[in-house]
Amino acid sequence: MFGYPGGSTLTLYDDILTSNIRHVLVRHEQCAAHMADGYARATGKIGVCTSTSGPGSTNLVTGVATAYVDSSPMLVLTGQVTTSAIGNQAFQEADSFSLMMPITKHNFRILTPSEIPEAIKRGVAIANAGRKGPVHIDLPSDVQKGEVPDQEMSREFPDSPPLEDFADLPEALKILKSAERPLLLVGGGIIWSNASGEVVRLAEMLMAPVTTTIMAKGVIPEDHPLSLGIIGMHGREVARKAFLEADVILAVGTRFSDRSSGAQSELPISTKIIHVDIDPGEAGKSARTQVRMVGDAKKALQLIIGGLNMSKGETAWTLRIKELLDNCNCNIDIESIPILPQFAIHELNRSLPHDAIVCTEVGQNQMWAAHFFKARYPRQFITSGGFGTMGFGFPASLGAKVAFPDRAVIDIAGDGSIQMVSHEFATAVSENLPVVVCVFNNGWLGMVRQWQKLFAERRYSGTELKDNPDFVKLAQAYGADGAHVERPSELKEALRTGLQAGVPYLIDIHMDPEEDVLPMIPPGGKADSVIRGRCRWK
Amino acid sequence: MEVIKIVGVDSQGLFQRVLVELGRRKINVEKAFMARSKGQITMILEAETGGMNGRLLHALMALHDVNSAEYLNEDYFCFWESSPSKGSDYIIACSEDKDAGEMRRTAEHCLYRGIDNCGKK
Repeated sequence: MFGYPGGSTLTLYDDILTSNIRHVLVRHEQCAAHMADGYARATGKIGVCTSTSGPGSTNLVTGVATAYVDSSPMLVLTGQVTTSAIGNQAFQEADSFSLMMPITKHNFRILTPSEIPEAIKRGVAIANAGRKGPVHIDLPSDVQKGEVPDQEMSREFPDSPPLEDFADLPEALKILKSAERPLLLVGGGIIWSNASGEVVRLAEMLMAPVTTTIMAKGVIPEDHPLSLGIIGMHGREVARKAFLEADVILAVGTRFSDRSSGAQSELPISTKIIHVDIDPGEAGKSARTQVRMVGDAKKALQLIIGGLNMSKGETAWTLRIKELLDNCNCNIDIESIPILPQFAIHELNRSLPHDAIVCTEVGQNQMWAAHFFKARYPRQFITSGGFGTMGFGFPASLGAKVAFPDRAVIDIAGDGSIQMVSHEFATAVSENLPVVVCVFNNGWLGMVRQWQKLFAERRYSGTELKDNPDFVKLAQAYGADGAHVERPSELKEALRTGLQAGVPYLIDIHMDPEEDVLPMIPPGGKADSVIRGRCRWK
Repeated sequence: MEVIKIVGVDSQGLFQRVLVELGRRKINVEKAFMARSKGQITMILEAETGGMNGRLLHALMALHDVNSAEYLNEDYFCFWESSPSKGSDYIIACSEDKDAGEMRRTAEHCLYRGIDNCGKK
């Protein structure tokens, strides 16, 4: 449980003293939500965060919204003023119930102690059922002090049956069997469903290349011959080209977001889309969908695998994919001063243990990591994909480290985002969470600068981070440690030291501010308008 | 303009959540009727749903505690009688009832108090 106490959660915190719950005291409630989110994404289990009423709960909002958009299961407990004071603008009162409503799957306002067991039991079940997400429980302080009747404690609350519709499975099988150029487009639903094994199996069965959204990075090892890497605005060009050349796209656990595969106007009219999603509001979202199925990704893939019962060898399509992959091969081993971000990611690929968990902030650092980091496993790459929350990565990395204290956990940060959450070094030190934070320090809010550079004639407005602090000294002030890196040759040693430091460690990597995140499909652009940068197409 | 009927479990804030879900999709609700009875909540909404069509119903059905969501193709009549002293009651009647003159009669006399006469669940 990640949280920050206050006047309206005194009873809750008193009970923690006699429970077996580990409580991680954060330094800002937003980070409690991000840590719970990071814990959930790293483990697949529900994360729990808590705050006091009023400003405590409003501080949680960004973190809860981040989890909601990326379908991360979370239980959010907020304190509330006494039931008699609700609605009177009492001290530290906010209508948390209404505030949380648009960013949670469900929420409960508890008015009597007997309602607590139902809210907790159903809340956990709802957060984990179907399309996962946060559930909020608002707990007035007087209710916390009350006694729950024994019969309520032992009551069970039946789960709602899952929403499923596999009626069109035969049609999906027919289309897949006759597909000449099948492609799998998979999203975060695969990770939440633990269906990465099924994805690889089906891909090999159909000899179909796999492209992932950023949320599904690692579903298929990115050195697998059928892996095309991520698709999207900053995705790999090979993924986009294969997406457009495929005759059948099996999209599973993805919502066709505007940043990944939203623009389908480029698809030939003959392309068939089979869309499987657990959320009936997302399944069939694309107007181009031929077959819509609703249900759990793992179950759907198992049904498809069982129904196909076939195996393909090498085809003209597999040869074409190999050709596309050969054409799209960026050399990122470029040693220069200032250091290039591509090289930093290259060094991470070389130096990190194979099972390291990599979290990112949001912006250029995120997109460089998404594009160039080679993920091997699901849940290895943790990022705020849908909401795009700066300041997510560092607290999320602490949540992941709580879950996996023996694994290396890295946060790839920007100098802008780390300053939103640098106070959590206090949490990292006091809770003994030795993560390594790699700050890609270029002195700018880089992604905004990049858009101003490319699309606003270099009219830089409000994006230069003047007078950044000495990040290493900042980390050291909290009892952490760190190193400055200005030359490529220094990075490997800094990473080795950081991974063995035994305390949180910040590596301040001085980077070239002129380097952009490329390739990039401009907003509203098509595949042929891609800006390639250093990544050439042979 | 579409007329939508949503029936769900009478849980806290469900009506509010439905309005929020519609609002975030740029759907303005022009008229709304909501009634709670016997552990169920029934909503009749009139809204311009734009291009959402069938997907909107799927999205509404995905909300926790919503049991059904459907577009209504027939005339509906929602009557709400409210009084600070005599209590309040409601009736929802649909066009089947109209043929029998029930809608007219209920409008005049509010005979079927607290009953959903349409028979749809």
